[in-house]
Amino acid sequence: MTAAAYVEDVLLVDRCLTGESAASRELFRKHNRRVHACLYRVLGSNRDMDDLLQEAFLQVFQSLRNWRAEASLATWIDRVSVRVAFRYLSQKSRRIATQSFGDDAIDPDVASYEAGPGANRQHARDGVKRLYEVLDELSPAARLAFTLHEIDGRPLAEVAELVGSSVTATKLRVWRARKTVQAAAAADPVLAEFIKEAA
Amino acid sequence: MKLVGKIPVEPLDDDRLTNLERRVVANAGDRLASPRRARRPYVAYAGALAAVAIAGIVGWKLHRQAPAIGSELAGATEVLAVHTDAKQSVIDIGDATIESSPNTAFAVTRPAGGVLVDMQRGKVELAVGKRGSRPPLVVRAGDTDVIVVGTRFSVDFHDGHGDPDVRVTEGVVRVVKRMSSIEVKVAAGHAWHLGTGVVALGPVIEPGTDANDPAIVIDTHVPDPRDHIALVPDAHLPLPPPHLGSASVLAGGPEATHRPPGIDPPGDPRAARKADIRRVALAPPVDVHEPDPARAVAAYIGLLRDHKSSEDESRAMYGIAYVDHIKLGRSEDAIAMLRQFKARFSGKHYAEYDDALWLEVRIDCLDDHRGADACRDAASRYLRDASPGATGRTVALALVQ
Repeated sequence: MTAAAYVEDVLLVDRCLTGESAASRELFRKHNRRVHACLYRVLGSNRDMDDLLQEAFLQVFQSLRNWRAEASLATWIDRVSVRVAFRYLSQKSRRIATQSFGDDAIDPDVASYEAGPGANRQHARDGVKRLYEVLDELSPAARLAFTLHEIDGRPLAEVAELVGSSVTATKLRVWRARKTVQAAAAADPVLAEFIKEAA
Repeated sequence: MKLVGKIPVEPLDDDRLTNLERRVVANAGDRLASPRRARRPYVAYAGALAAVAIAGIVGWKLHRQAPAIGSELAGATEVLAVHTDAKQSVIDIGDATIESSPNTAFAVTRPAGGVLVDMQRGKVELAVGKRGSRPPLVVRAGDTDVIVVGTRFSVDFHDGHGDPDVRVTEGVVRVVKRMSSIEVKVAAGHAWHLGTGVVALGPVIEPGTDANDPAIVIDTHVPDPRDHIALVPDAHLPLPPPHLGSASVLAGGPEATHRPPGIDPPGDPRAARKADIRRVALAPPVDVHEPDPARAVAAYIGLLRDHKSSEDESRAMYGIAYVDHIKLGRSEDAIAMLRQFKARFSGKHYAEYDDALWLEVRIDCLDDHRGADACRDAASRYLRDASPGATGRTVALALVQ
């Protein structure tokens, strides 16, 4: 992160704190895709996504005064998003409202993966759906660790930082989650195929 | 298992995004203000806490032997007493490794799941694992508590009198002076002593505190990737020794005297013009007394973050751009900073405004890669926006022709 980018964050936060709604809008526009992607990868396609996204940003604004700039604003916002996801996952009584992946669920960075014939595309969607069904069975901490590392591609140290845990504990959670997914894949050819293709 | 990039992120359509944005922005103001409102219900709690604190102080006065950091320490059981004579010793207490210098005495207790290292004299060096939600590890030296967040550090209590020296090599510790309610955070690469305060990378005065009290300096190390980047040869501009809290103007001439010779290739047709550009004096930024340019940038960022006026912001942003270009050779960063500077201070002619515009001319015109148009545009902007008596006008006029 360059000093210029850092200063841009500081100035933007300053403007938000003075109550400038244009600044709040700017902050939302700058970070909404990032927060959405983070929540999406952790929780999967979800009926509550809009509410979660809104809650994440409202938490960001509520805590904005506490941003002491030890971390970049983006990292700090990630941390808030992860907390929102964790809280959501921790509500044990609530079954996570996973939706099936629609036809518009295509991200440009997976275009190559999704660009195959229709059968392949459906196959991939089924794989993802099965994967998140398995993830629904994991503990919130394990799910966060696994999804942030294996799906969002963040290094273990960063995941540990985001979830406020040690690297060792995070590594263990990822390992256990991986074992669970692999065990589920052993009994589910669709999931097994998806993981195999992904590997 | 490599799933990175394999899970499609369902994009938010424009309508959803617009609705979300509207709801978030509409509620943002309330949320931004809510911490202040939220404090009100806690006034009663604050009163109760104050009463408990007063009772604690009275109790402490009556029983001086009782530790003051918290009631949980009162029931501590001593588990280990260490006295070293002429030799060093290293003990592993599970939570931490404690290395003590010769002639050191301390006791280790475990109050309520925490660890208290109570020093009588000498020096200890600790490597402490992350404590997570467990009660803290505290090193007590006289009336000073060093509270560990998970780190590696040393506490030198000398002969057991006065104030200790605290040096942190990894992580962060909080140093609390119990008698005077002073609390200081000391981060990796920093040292603290009551007399000197935090000697730190980019130290800044905590807003609202007395700038003359060195014990109330809060470390605000700002991670800057350039800390690890080799500096350009002219990066080592000699500056006065570190001194906290000052904002005096750096004495000395413009940066041109520090530029290495032969910067223009031989036979450069624009050499004369470049020499003219360099001859225009560029005011040095406010001195943050940091000889290391990367640390100076961190200090300017600190100044910007804790600014008390727009003038401070202006000084800090110009300082960052100046150090970026002149000392670190990072012209792109400098240009990005100047762009923000202009956007923020357009029409407000603070002291640095003309120099910021000239710095842009310098960068755009001295760097051949930026092209003649960039140079001409920067010079035009200078002529248009700089104050009528600005020193670079004649040269700028030549540059636009």
